[in-house]
Amino acid sequence: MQGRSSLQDEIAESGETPVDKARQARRLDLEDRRFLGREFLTWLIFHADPDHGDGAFAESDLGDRFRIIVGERVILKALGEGAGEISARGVAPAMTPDVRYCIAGGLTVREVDLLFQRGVKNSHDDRIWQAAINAEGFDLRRVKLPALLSEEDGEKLAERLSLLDELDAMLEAAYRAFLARRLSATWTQDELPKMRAWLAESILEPHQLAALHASEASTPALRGAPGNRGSKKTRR
Amino acid sequence: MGLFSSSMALRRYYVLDATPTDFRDKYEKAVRAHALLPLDPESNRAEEKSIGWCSLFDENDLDLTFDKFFLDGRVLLSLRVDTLKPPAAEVKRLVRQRQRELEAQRKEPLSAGALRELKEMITLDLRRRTPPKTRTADMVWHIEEERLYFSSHSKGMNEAFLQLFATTFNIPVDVEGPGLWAQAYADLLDLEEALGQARPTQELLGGFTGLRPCPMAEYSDDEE
Repeated sequence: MQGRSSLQDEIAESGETPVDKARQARRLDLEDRRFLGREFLTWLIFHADPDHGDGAFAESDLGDRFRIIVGERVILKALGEGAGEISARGVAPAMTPDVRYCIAGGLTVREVDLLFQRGVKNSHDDRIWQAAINAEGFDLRRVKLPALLSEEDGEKLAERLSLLDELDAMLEAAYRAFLARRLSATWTQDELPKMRAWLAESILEPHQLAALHASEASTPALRGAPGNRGSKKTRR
Repeated sequence: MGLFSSSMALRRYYVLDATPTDFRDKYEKAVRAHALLPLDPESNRAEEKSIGWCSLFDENDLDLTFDKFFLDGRVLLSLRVDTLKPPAAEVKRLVRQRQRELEAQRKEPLSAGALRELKEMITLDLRRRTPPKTRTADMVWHIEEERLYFSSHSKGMNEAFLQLFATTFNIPVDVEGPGLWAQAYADLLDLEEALGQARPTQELLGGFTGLRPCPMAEYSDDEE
């Protein structure tokens, strides 16, 4: 084995820069702005929280107001090929500290089950669409539409297509609401500090939270959302 | 999982060229020319796969007139992929079985050429007896909005679809997604500059430091 160089030595001698997979993934990510899809779905977990928007979206030129509820599956992953995937399943996984702990550590949502609710809640006019959305291309899986009203075959198809368009319009409207924040100063000045405070409340023990608030009070740059909120509401 | 199933899968494509004004005859001819040709095990030994359009309402309806695939400003078609390939393990097993019988009769081993012929005969025989495997995925193309849905996420089906769509309609398509939607939104509200400057959020990429250990934090601010 004497005098035999390793692959790393050979790369170092050749002057080539070894490829870092996470950095390479990030570079590709920037080219087609794929990161916005991940950030949107991650923000949606925050926005769907009953204390932070309750998943509500106002009326827009894409349709009436509606609400998004996070369903029973959330898949998270860090950037890079080798990063492991974490899947949270069950009743309201978005409310669990586990999912929020992942988000706080730099994992973003890659796929999430969502329910789109339009109409008056718990009334006959209330309609619910269900779909799993992936972050990369907003592909839809396991799409379930509200019950059809039509009885004839031709009308049924037209109604299904119309309901699909409506689902897509709601997703686009939610994405636009996110972009309105993301492409303005609101994102860094308001939304991110609120997300930070929300995560802190969800994953830290009361004494850790108090210590964090004390350290942030002495370091203005780290300060989260204004005011000290109560202890962890979502911890089970 | 087509458009009529209770649980659908959908991918969106953006149609990159406008449809010609006189598309009725043109598209009817084009679709009929690219309708699926069922595999015939008797006529062509080598053909293992056939790809083409079929009716969205009935996968066995290959007589595609304009009125059958155009409804309310939408082109409705199904991609059908038929595969006729005898299972390799079954071919191998039958070749070995027949080889043993023949060698026992002749009391000498079969030559390489004879074995090749034997394999071809068995494959052909199995092709006659094996029903083709049929897969379909639906397409809904909204002509005016220049976008379409395709009801499969399978890489193979999407590649076959893109190729068939391009050869049939001579129009390129691109996958719709967060990037394209963001661009459309920025164009609408004159936010191109803000979108151009947008970079991944450090906290969402590397973690919210101070809340927990963040091993990815090192990747947060070194891109430029």
